[in-house]
Amino acid sequence: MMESTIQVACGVMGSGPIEYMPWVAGAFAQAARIENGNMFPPAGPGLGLEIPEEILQRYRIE
Amino acid sequence: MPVVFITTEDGTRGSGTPGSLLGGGHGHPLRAQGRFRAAAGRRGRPRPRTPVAQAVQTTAVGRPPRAGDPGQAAVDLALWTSRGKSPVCRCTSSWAAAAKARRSTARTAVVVHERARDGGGVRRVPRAGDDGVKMKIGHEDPGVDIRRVRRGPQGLGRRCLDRRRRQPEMGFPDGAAGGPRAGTAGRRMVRGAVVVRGYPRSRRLAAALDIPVAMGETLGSRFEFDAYLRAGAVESCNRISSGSAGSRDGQGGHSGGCRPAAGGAGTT
Repeated sequence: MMESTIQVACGVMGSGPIEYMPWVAGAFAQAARIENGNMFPPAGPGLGLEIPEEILQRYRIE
Repeated sequence: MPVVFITTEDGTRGSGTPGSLLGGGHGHPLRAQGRFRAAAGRRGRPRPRTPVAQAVQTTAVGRPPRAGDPGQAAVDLALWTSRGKSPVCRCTSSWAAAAKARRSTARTAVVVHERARDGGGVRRVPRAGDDGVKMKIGHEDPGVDIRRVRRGPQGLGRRCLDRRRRQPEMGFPDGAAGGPRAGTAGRRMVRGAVVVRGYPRSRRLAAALDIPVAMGETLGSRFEFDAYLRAGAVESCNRISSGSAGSRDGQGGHSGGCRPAAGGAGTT
């Protein structure tokens, strides 16, 4: 998903546009920052993504 | 107990210990941009800002340790740990602050043929929702696409029909599920984003069908759409909704379409 590929896209110069799927945005604590057609990578360590505990519980597969 | 602490200019901290050299040392020098503030721990006094190239002298693999190597390795580790606390993209030698994004046309990019009653007959196209299917065309031989489109939903093949059964919300609109009827298939079919790369082929396709030939997917802005519209290769463009990418290009609302330029195939 775009929230993770944005890190690679920004790390590799000359990357093409990446696809944004808004229906997965709710899986993360913070929505992706998109301005004027540009997406900015999260500033946190690693992928910079945080999945809320509530989401983990809801979609957990035993 | 760490003996070297490093703080980057953006506040990221790293630390290293002298025992890290026991594993054999590092074979690759650390390349990093900018300047780091390297401050020794209990073994030394803080140093002024030092370029990384001077602060880090990595040890070649296989060379016997020399006095001072443990300290250098500690600096190495401190730098690496500080980088590990950064976003992944900043671990590369050069990185961009942002990347171009475009909204996926899946699930929402549904193009319904409608003739606008305003605007002098300009066709206004997409309607967002899950009530249609996305059909990609763009065969090397436009005749294949034309035949497929004219055959209606059956032309999409079993795979698509199977998907329709699994996902009822992706069903065809009423009247089209049973196949095309003469003179009506074009009006009842739903078309999704289509990548149209070759003007001649696209023109032929657009001219042969009585439905709008839409495009989108890889195009990011109205400036990219413009050439296709002016060439008469398409009749409509999927516009990106929800303000995520450049195709939206200042237009408000959740759904809608780029209006064809004057003289384009979309004008009627």
